[in-house]
Amino acid sequence: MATPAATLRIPRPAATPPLSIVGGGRIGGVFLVLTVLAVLGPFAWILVASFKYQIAIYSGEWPFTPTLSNYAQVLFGRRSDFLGNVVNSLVVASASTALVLVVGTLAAYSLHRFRWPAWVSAGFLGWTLVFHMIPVMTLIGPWYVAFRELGLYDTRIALILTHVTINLPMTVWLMRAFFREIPPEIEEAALVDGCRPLEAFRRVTLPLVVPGLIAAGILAFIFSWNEFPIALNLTSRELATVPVAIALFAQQYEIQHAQMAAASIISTIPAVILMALGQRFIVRGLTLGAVK
Amino acid sequence: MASVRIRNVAKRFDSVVVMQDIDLDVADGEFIVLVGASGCGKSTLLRMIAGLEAITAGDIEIGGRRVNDLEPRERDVAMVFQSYALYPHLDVRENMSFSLRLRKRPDSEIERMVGGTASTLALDALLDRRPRALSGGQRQRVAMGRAIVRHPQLFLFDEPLSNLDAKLRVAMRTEIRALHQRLHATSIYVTHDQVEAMTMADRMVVMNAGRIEQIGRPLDVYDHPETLYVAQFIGSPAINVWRGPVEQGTLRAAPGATLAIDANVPPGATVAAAFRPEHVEIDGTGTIAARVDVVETLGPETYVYLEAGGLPVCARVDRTQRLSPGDPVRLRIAPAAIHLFDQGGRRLAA
Repeated sequence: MATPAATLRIPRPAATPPLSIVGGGRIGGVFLVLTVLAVLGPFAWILVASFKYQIAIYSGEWPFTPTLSNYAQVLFGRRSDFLGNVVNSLVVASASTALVLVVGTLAAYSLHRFRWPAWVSAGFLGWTLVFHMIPVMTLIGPWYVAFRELGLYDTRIALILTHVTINLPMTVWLMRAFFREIPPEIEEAALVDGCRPLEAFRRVTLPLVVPGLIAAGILAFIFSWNEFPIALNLTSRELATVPVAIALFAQQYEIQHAQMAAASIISTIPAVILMALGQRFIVRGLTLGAVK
Repeated sequence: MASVRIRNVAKRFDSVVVMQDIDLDVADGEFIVLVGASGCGKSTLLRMIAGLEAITAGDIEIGGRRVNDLEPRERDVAMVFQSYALYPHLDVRENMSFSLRLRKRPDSEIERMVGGTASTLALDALLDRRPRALSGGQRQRVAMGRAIVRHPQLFLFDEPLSNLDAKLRVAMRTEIRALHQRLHATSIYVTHDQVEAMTMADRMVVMNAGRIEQIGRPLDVYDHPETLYVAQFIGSPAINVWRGPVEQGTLRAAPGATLAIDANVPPGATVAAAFRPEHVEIDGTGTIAARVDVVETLGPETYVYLEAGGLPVCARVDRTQRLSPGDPVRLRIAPAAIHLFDQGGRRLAA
């Protein structure tokens, strides 16, 4: 929910001609406004709803008397375990992000630096892409069975592992682009200067890809934070993450629109903060190597 | 400092032989320049000495120690790269002290060594800057400083000046040479620029297609090229080359283009005769009729491009000699100034 709103803030690259040339003046402006409305409209509606009483949402009352009661109930209400859900999400997102950065960075470095036979690197990259391309729902069934057998069903570990799997392709591809930007002589200079290969990686190469780590880390964290279908199927109510918890506000006999809206707004906060801090790295990361 | 011995070194990438039978001895304190056209293997040879490239056969010794199987860090060499390869995330001070810190030298010593080197290279004011805030010439100095501060056994330079503009390049050339005269550090310097090779080398090594063509002091190589390739590679403008059969002490390159030869050449053999522009005299009593095509005045000297019997000739003349395109002139080339090469490009004994 947060991602589309936040990614729209990506600044236009400097080389892009002014809008009037691109869109033919007025028409381009109209399209831009429509797009912004389409993205921000629903978000604004939820934001407004989160300050309304349930009854005001049903009646469509406008203007309305704003209230913070929805937030209070979501965060501190006796029937709500939303803070617990936030903790679950934080643990899962942080751990899976840390893990995918370690695995993905080392894999990308290995693919970039060592002369693997073409079929190894192509095979590996192709294999990771598969996870990116097939619908997640296809994987959930096998994962459910596998984790039940392993005794990992309804654990955070299961969720962390699946999120690492899903995020790995993006991380590897992104980090590979960053490693490719580093001239090999810099690492060679470190080797001649007295580094062991691993030392050269740690002291010279790794510090140079920190922007890549930030970009990949933010993208992985936000994915994991927002991920819904896997979390819904592999965890019970106890370990539900934030998106699952939000969905649970819609029950069979009652939909708590107001609290759902408040929870949604709260759930966007980490993503918005991260995107605001890291968007310049993400833009650079995703367009790296596109132009010299 | 140390001497370097290279014996029968070869390099193959898969089945492609890129270098073979490389033998080279570098004396302690010597400044050796490897020179050749791009792709001749000079950088590969340098990287093999540094340990960045494995050797397929042969031996490399630095300071009497066989280093074939040693890692770059164990060879005690310092290298200056063409792209400088400074560490972008470290400032100048950290760049220069990088190797000393790896060696866990005490802070006071590092401070003293970096300070000393920085003042030698006029980098004092730049110590806290990152590489991206430096000009090309300053980066080049930092790369030099990073190498010097270590006091290695051997300096390796991989075309360190080729990214600088022409003026700075000439200045740095002199500076590196002056630095070498002060430090007496054994150095191997790679360049494709024959002027750099001529001006900087104690001895130069001319390489071509993965082989060494000739090793010698710059003027010896210039005056006595062992192969036609060396003759043509060294010297600017390039040496004149005429080819043709030799009969009765005369080489007939073309009708009207003949040279008197005073060497024993088997009768009827086809040879290449090479003579430098400064050995072509424009003189009314000369034996070769020619016509002026182009005149280039450089200031101290003038190059005249002529045509004799349909063959091109370049002559270096004094600026006082006034010539215009189309002028008919006569040329004289002293037989002693002519280098003769067989069809394989090897020098014929005089």
